[in-house]
Amino acid sequence: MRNLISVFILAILFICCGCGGNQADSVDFPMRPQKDIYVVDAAHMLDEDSRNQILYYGAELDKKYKAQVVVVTVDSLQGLDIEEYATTLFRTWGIGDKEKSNGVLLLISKNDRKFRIEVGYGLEGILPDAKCNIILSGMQGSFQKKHFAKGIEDAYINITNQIYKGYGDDETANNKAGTVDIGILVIVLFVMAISFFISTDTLFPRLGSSHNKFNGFGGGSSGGGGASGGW
Amino acid sequence: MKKFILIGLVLMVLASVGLYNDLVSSETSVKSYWAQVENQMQRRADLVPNLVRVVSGYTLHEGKIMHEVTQARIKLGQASTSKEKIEANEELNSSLSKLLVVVENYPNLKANEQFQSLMVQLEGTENRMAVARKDYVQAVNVYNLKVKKFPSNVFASMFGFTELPQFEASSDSKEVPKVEFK
Repeated sequence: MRNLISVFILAILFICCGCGGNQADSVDFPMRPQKDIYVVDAAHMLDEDSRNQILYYGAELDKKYKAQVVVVTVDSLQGLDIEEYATTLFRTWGIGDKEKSNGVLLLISKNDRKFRIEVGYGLEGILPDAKCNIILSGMQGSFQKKHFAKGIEDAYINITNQIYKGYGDDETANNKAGTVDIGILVIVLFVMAISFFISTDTLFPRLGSSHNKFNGFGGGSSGGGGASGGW
Repeated sequence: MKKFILIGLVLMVLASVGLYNDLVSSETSVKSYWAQVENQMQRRADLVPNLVRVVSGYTLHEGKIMHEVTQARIKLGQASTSKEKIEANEELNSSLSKLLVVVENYPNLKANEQFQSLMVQLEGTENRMAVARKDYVQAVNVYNLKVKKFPSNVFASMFGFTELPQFEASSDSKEVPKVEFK
């Protein structure tokens, strides 16, 4: 019995070795974010304001449709094609809902001066390649004027609006965070207060437990759809 | 003593079922990834009529290449086995490559919005195909290892699981070139 087990384990290890040989294995991808998952600004291209706006829109969309749009800026692609980098990152993090596969990755490499929108399987109809290209063209214009934060924010808004539209929703990400309807705000605060008291976390508080439901990525995948560009 | 033998047998049956199911799901995985590859082949083929239409509007003496591309697409549509499809797809690859080289001589065509949109779609499809192919290759590798390695190879031969073909692209196949718009 012991022999069988060790043979089995060896087989598994062998299979794992066999699956390697990927160029992407030697690249350092950014760490999967544990909170504020919609922005990973490793190349520091965003300002505080844009970052907060994007986090707000991203969370809204996620709450409503479990669609996750993520912006990632990196300093370098470390020799990888941006397509391969994007697909690998997308799949490793599992952006978007697992069932609906409705994730989008907006990837910018600062030193390579390249960007890409990678679209999850489930959103390929709503964000076809041509549309992604148009969104990227807009961003390119801003980038050429060195307006990186604005360019990224606008592109992000564009993408989320497309998704709302695609889901037959009139909502747009145009409302800045400060102008939320007062009535809705009151209801939200009320619900938050109730759940705060009901949750056992108030009795046995744990550090970092406040981000419960919308903590992580949903496990969606992509198939190489989207568009690439540069400036 | 008998009790231990009984338990041992039950465990072996359970393990066998596990290994068998594992082979089944691996094989199913391979098939579904292959379906995705064929999907992307089809998707690219679907772009050809529009491409030919737009390019024809700007070029006068490139009838031969247009014909080649159209024929390659038809051949892909008629292919039935995976092998035939891969071959036909390679032909489409090479005729599209030639077409895009020719296009470089026509700046007006390159400036055409419809053409540019088609190029974006074509590139997108190329990328999808590359990803689909990679997924398939990986799935086949995993499956083939299971078919060959102990202990699952025992069940593989018992139940008729055989090695599946790897995606062999011909050595002279080129990647379809990207059109520069600068």
